[in-house]
Amino acid sequence: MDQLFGNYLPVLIATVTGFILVITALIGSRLLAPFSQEREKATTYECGMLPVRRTSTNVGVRFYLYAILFIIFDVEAVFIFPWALSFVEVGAQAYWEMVLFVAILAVGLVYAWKKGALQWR
Amino acid sequence: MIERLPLPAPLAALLRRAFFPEGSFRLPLPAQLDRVIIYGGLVAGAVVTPILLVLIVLLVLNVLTAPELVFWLASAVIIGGALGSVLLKNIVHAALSLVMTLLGVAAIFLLLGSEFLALVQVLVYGGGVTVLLLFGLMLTNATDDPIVSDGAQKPFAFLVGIALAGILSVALVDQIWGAPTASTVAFRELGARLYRDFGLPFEIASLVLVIALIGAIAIARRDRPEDTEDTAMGDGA
Amino acid sequence: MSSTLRQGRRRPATRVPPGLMIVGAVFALGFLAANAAIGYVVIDGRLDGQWYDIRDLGFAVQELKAQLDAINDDQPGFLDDIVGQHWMSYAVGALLGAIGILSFIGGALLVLIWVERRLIGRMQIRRGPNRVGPYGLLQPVADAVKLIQKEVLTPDGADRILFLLPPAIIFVPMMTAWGPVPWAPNMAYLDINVGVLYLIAVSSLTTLAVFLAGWSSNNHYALLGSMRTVAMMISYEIPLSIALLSVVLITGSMQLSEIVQWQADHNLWLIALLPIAMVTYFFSSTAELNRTPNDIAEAESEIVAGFHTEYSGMKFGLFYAVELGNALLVATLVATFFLGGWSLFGLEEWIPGYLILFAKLSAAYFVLVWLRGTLPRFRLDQLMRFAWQYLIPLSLFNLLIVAIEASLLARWDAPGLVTLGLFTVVNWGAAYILFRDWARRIGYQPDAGGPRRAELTQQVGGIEAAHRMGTAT
Repeated sequence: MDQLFGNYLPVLIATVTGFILVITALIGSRLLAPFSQEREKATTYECGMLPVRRTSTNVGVRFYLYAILFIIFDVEAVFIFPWALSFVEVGAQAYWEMVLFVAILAVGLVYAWKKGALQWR
Repeated sequence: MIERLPLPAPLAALLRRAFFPEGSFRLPLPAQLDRVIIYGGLVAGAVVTPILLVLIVLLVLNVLTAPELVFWLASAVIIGGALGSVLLKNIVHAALSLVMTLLGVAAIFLLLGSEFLALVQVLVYGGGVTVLLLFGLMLTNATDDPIVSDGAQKPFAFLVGIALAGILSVALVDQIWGAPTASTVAFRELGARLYRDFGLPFEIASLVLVIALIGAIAIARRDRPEDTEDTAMGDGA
Repeated sequence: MSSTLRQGRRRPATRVPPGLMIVGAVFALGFLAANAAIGYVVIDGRLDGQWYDIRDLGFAVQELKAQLDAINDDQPGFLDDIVGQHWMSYAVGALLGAIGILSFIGGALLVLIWVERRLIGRMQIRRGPNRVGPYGLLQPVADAVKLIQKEVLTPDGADRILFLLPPAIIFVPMMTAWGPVPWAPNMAYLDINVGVLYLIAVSSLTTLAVFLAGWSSNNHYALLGSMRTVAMMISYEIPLSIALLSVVLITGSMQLSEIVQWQADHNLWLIALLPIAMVTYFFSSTAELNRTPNDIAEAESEIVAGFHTEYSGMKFGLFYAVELGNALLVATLVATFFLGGWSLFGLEEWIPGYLILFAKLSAAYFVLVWLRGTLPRFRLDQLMRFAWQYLIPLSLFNLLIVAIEASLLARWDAPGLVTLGLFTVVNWGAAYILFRDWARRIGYQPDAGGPRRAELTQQVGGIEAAHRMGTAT
């Protein structure tokens, strides 16, 4: 427990150091950079046009589809991690279990492929 | 600015000449600083600093151990994030508070001695589910219109929430907790148990994943001709 | 609208105040001195035949502990709980290690920016930066000074809080991801036994920052760029994870120091055993980095600058620094996973491990620069197809092959060199066949009639002609 805690303290320290660096950079730029309050400067950049309205956030459904695909294969990779460390001692059973697991997911991938879900239209 | 410092006049003049030779450039006063930084910093300082001070005093006085300190901080993050995800009007802000909750849970897993679960929590929930959630939000117009429109569902949601909290509390109180064992499960052992003893549930998990995949494709891939590159941003583009 | 404008204060022409120059010089000298001190401590630390463990910089902490114990004798029990635990020396050691490695990264970044720009200039037959300082060496410093002096704008209609967050939350994963990298046998300040998983988990947080940067800007280009980038990053994260999984399989450990130790023990770099994983990892990493050929995020001819269109001044500078820092990190990880890390066939007895690693990561970084100077940008649909239809099936297949080999390696009694040599031959053959045939299977047609060499360059006389005319350095 104490060991684990000591192991992860560097993460905390690196995180805090990172935030301190970012804040230092931003404050330094605050102190050194010019600072005017013209309103026109702050208009949204649209290659010279004035923006007509707020950015519409209604984007295509395929982004959502890729996110779902990502989660499914991410979970698959997470399952493979403990397998990768222990399958040698468990033996052939673990190997074939993983082959079956990957095969089932490969069927899913082929299905998505055939349905055209992997094509960026 | 320099003139206001309690310095002898020649030194102040020297400093001014060294740093601001034109004499026209002043250090920006706080009124010019970004209000977000100022107020955010003040609020954070006013709230966080006393809490941290109290905790450190407790730590020094041997009332708390360091893991307990981390536990309380993580719990504060989890509860704050959960409250934020319910109460915030802007739906993207609510989603971000949810991320805070999920990462706080990762810290709790770490405290319980399960590195694997903690990292998986960060990987799957911090990196994956969050993106899914945000992309899901982007499908709707909800982010344009940050008014929560759950009027009709509110009483039911309230009832369900109360009921769930009741069930969980009863379950927690009824549970006979064993003595706390601070043992870390070896990673290899986890894998060996999973693949030796729980092979069938593991395969079922893959089937569930594939079913989710097929369902998502069936729902999302309607052949709509307007869903092409140039209308991807809606009519605002 | 223009009647409501408030005129900004007129500012005289900028020149660097002498006081600022003095402060800058002091900082630069302090930076150099800190680096020299760290280098001295690291080299001097060869106490018991080991290279220095950064965490054991706790010698200073032990001194502190002794002092505190002396106080503690007067007031027993008061400080026991903090000082008596060993995590205190971990903490200080980690702090010193973080500062040491960070100042190394900072220095390396400044030099490598210059190297990269000069190299790309050379590849495109032009001079790189050559005005500021000797050979343009001070150009990165000048860029940094310029960036910190520029105004930081917040656009109208931006979500002000969320607009402030992304530079910070994209910077922190980059910092923390350096932890598990072993610079020498004991030189890693976060040597956890789930290092590979930790790296993947930490770097997956970057997507969140990219999305927020695009969303909070209230800009079409930024939003479109961030959506594209996130989609690309999550797609390439999967082949990246699976490529690293085959490394874990063959070495039997997720601890980075043990992965390097395996390569040192077997006198074999993993690039020999795992060519498919190496190529997959390298290419996926360029996608995670948003570098050419995968820089659709910053396709400046299409969507201005992608997700950081609205960021200016130092906020943009932070994004830029993170991009370079991540490129350096990827080069380091490639060197660690596939090129043997700090090991060099026994020579690490004589040469400090971090110098060997630095040489290897420079080689990997050169390949990154080379790719950037050579390849055109891919379209988004090409990139997505490449990830899902090419890299993921190949890397899954590779994983099953490597699994068989790993179990054979554990069971066979043949001498290791014979087995590993056999695997090397088999894997390179498999890599050649798989890469070629799978590409053809999903519809790649080699362009038979196209030019084989850069003919236009040759026709105008190539780099030699440029030399004759004196237009290339």
